[in-house]
Amino acid sequence: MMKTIGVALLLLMLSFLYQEELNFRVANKTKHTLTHIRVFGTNLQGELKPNEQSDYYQTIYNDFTEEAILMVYVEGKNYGIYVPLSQRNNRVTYIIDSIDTINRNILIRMQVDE
Amino acid sequence: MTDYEKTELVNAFYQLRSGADMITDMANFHMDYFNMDNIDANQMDIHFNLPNEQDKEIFLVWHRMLMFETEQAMQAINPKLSIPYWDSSADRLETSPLWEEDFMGSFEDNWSLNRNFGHDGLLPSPQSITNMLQMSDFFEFSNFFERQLPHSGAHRWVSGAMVTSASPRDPVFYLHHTFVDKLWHDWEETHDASFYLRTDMLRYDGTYVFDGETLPLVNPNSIVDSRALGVFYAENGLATLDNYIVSNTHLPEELFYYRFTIQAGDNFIAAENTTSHLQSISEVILTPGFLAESGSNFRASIDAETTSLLARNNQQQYPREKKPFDDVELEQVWLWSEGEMDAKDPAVVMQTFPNPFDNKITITLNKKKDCVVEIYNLTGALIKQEFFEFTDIIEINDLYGLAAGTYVVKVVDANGETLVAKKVVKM
Repeated sequence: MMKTIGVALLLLMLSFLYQEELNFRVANKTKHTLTHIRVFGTNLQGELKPNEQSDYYQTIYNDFTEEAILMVYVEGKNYGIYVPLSQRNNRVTYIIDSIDTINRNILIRMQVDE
Repeated sequence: MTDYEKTELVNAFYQLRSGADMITDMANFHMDYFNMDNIDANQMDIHFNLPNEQDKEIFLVWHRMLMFETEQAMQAINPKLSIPYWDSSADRLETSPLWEEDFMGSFEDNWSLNRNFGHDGLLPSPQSITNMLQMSDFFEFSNFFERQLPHSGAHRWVSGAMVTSASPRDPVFYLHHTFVDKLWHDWEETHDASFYLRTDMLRYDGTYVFDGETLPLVNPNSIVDSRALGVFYAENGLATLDNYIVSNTHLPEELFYYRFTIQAGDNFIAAENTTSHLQSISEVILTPGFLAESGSNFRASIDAETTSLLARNNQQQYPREKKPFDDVELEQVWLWSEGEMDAKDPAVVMQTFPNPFDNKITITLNKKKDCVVEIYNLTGALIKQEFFEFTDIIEINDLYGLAAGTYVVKVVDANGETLVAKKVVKM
């Protein structure tokens, strides 16, 4: 009986995992050309030159199978950072403000577009 | 933790950051292999593995080895040290002693960590930990653990370096991942179901060299029980040591040092020709099932030395930071003048305005490059750091509003080369 309740609780917990449609794009405010950009398990096409931004991408994000991580490749190094999630079902832009190739730091912020 | 343990642990982190700099090596390795799926999904990595990858869910075991490697290095400094765990589901306040200046707070400015508590996410609740530990399938458990708050929460909540793939740069990373490891230990004690496809791991494949020493090849399946590394987690004031045979595999004397009561029994065996020591600040209890074999060198003792050690240690605090300008000639104050040429690099031109300096410094480089401006006080503390991206003009206004005084200005490029290093006096 207790095991049944435990399994039910677990299933209930899993059903509350964050899962929804996300619309996002990435903007490059750094002075570097960014390649191999990946967000929420989705590889973005092409590269982003300074001050360029990608098209919007749409994904059904499930935080049990994907990760809220932005990966980007710059000057021979791969950078990763957890990205914030919008509280509502908004379109968002992840703005990469700075990539410090010396200290290997990356700074990003999220802009809610609508 | 006792004051002695805290002081020694902080000292050890600073010591690991000096010389061969194990902290930076680990941070760079963690960053380089964090996740490679944006480049090549078939390449091995250590986070967020895909279901069809051979190294799927290597996350838990890889970080267990990283904690063990760190703890071994610390024990070479002080055998009584072990990495404590930060239970982020219980110790949730930014006013916690965890973050005080004599502990993890010590590193915030000295290592430019830019922590911003609560900025990027929440810590896990105790209930979420309890629920997670009920999951029975190892891959589901590991996957959930890695992606959800029990692991990611602390990274997001601390923010700064912790929210990036270079998170081992922050010492609290090690306290957090020791907690992650303890939870995996707790889960494995209940479910006994951890399993890996691979027989080696990145960094621990028998080829990686750090500081002249080749790290061992480690089969992940050989360390799914933390006892294989001689690790026993204490909880609620009690360290229970059981089902273990002392082998001296990793250390010539295995020291089990706890401030808590140690209870050893239930097939804890000090084997023949091995050396081991159980040492507690409070109490050591040997229960049925404990065996010290004939020919073993076994001791159990109460540590009464820590108070005097602490007093001595306070007078011998390890330097918090090697002065980053030790190579700078400080006898001569930089004589600011407009357009002064740097003798080492004629292409680097310094200008101050007005002259004498009290307002603006301009540094002109011969070509655009990434560089960092660092301002230090004369004790070696980093006061200000600013990254300049792909530029050939660096302007520093009012020396970042710092008070009048003497500072060292250093500009370093992406190759780690010092472009400019000068002692300056702000009027």
